[in-house]
Amino acid sequence: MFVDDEFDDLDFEDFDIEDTDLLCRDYDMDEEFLRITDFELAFLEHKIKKFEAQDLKLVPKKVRDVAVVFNIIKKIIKPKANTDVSYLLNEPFLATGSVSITSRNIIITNPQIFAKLLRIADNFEAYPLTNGNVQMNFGFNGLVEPTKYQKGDNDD
Amino acid sequence: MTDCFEMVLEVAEKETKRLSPQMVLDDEALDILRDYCEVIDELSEKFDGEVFEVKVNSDNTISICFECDEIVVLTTDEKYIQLIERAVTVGFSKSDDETLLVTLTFPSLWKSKKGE
Repeated sequence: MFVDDEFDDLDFEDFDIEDTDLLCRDYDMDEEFLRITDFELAFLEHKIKKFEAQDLKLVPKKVRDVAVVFNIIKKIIKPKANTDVSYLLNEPFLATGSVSITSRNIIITNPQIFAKLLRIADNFEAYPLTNGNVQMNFGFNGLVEPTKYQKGDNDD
Repeated sequence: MTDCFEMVLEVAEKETKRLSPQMVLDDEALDILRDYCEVIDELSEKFDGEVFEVKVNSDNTISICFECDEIVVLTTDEKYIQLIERAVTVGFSKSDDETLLVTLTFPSLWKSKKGE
């Protein structure tokens, strides 16, 4: 989830999530839907650095997909109050992630944008919870890949 | 199991009488909704659910609600995504029977009578 450890120095370099022109083009959406907060950028970069220490790297395009879905879904659902929107990276597996929404009653006010989010994600599920809420999950695969040559790959 | 479009027709017939003579049923809109209903039937069948309710809202939009235990789709299922794209709103809630209720609201089936 959001808060992990203290963030180190921030440096986003090849992670183009701030480039809203590029995002608008890639995702075919208006800029208003694609603004990412500094805090979210910091969190993602923090994650990237942790993986670098394990010879793994987050795949920028896929992580950006998660961030975009997370940011946009908040803008097209109601009610805003009593609705929890969260994302997980590298759970339950290193290469997977998800964006989840839980609420008593979720209304999607812009189905056209919602459809775009479905196309960005790899899978989607919705189900009732025992506490009276419903939950929707956008699932993502392929978030992590090795950064170095792995012994056993292409040995011949 | 009741066919989604049968339920729509039943509701549309009553509402057309109520809105007459100021408004008439738009046959083209009804044909389009028939196509949507086919996908909704397929979707509810796929997840072992059924169409639960069809109602006309105060702004004459039409809401179709189906219930099922859960929905799990690969987002390559373009047919379902296109159905969502054509809705005015999409809602998810929980029924008293602990099932998932999915409500798709579509544009009005009625138009003003010509010349009025």
